[in-house]
Amino acid sequence: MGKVASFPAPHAEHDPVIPPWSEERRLLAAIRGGDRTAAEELVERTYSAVFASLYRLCGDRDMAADLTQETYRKAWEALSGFDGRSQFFTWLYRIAYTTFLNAIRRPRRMTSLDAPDAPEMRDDAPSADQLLSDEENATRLRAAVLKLPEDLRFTVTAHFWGGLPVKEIARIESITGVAVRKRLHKAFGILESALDEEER
Amino acid sequence: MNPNRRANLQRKLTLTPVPKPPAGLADKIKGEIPKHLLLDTERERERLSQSVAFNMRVAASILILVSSVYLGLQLIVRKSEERAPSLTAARQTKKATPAVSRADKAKNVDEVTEAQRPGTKVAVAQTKPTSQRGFVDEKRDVARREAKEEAPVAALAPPPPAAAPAPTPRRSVATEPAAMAEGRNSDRAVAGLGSAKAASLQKLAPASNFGVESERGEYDRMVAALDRGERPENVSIAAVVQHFAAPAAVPGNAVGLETEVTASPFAQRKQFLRVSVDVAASISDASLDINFKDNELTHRALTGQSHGRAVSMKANSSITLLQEFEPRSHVESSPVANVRLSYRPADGDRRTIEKEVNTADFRAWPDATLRMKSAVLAALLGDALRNGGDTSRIAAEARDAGLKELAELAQRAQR
Repeated sequence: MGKVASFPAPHAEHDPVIPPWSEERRLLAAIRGGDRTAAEELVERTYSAVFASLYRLCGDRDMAADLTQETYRKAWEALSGFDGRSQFFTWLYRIAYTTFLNAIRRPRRMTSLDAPDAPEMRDDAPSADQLLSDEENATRLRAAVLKLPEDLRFTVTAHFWGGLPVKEIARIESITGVAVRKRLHKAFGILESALDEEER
Repeated sequence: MNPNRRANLQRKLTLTPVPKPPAGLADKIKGEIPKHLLLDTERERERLSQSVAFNMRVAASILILVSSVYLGLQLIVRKSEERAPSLTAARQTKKATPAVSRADKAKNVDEVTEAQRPGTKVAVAQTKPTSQRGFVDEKRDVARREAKEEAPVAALAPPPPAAAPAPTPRRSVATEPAAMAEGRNSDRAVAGLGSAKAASLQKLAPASNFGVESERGEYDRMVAALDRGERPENVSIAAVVQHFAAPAAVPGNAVGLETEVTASPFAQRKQFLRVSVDVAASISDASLDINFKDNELTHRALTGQSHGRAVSMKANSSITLLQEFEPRSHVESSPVANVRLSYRPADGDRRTIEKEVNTADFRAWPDATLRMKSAVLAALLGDALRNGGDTSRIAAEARDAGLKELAELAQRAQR
């Protein structure tokens, strides 16, 4: 058995949009006490991270927006069952991930090429070749990630696209941090092979 | 895996470009925050806890109800099991039993209702029709029928001595399961408690209690003789009194001492003193002393003389002593007699119950309790059968008091 490689925490781990634990608890307590402002604040602080995670999963802005809305709808319904074992965002990411999987299992919707916001407009305005190349790379990588076995897929997407720390993934998956790292290590091996094959 | 390649892959995963969320997405999400989410959960919790408390109360009530029904069924089953032997015996002699007409039944129901009023409890066991009677009544019926069956043999054989026990195994099995269980089959009787509760418990008293000695068979033999149209011989007044003076219910206390004085229904000067000892829990080393205040007072113990002999009484047994006396005067609030019961309960030190009988306690005959009337009329009937006398007026008085069985017996004695 080789040693488990350590993975640096992604930027999202320290993302200020995810409220710290104490702040999160305060907001949740306020929501349960009937405070609408607290619910809105929680949305304000988490929705962009949820959207980003879903965009990385699906690669479609509109779809990510729809799924984000659906994620919150489901979250409100299930909020009474949130036991606080993990952070709220971890729990929310799990819902978002499941929502995404359910969406891609449904028949795909038709996207019009004439849609006004079809091409993504970016602020840094890179060149067309660069854009195409990045887009192709991202699509290939996404496709490879989505082909991973379920446990590895969730772990990789949660860690890199959801920005969840290893210990949070361990909590929500009810496994140890070492097991999470092993999963990541294994997933990287598979991804490497898959991407190499495509390049050939 | 090559660290460089891994770092490259990690960079690709992490640095996937992400567009900004569409404008208004946050507002859409906020607009979908459900109202029920914003309800005061504390209030909801309180409402829920109240609901749970209510449900718990309902559940507890149901449990209690079910337990009560279960206990009731258990009691009924137990009673049925205990009644089974006597019912079997009764079934064997069913053909000989005249059917009770509906009219009689209705009448007897009225009598039972009447008897359930305070002071009239004793009559319940005596006036119920066969179909409504309790275990004690059936025991009596069965014993009487057995006595009937034995009558030809008894007629041929010399009459047994009064003190000699004459137990029959059949009777013991049919009527005294508890006594059999204890290996005691004494046939001497103390009147059992009249209620259904008492019926399920032990009836057999010690051979001798406070001088009141009566064989269980004596009463049955007397009735059998009357059924044959013969004049019974050697009638035991005590046996007749014990048969009719049983209480309707087990006493509330472990030991109950009851005294009552009433005028004779036929001679105003004569008074009767009834002393009943009803025992719910067994006692031992018991003695009963009845001391009349005035030594010159004429009195006669109809059911035997109390002599202070220490005896034992089993649980759920009863004994009634009856004294006939003529007071010198009817001065108000003048002590007449002192009744003292001393005993040792199964789990304690010796206790004493003392009662004083006062002229103020004297009751006119119509005001006497049904138990008292039963005891007095039974004693008078026994006396009339023993020494010769008119029983028709006893029958009339018993009928007036609602004592049907006693009235019929006195009527038969008259024939």
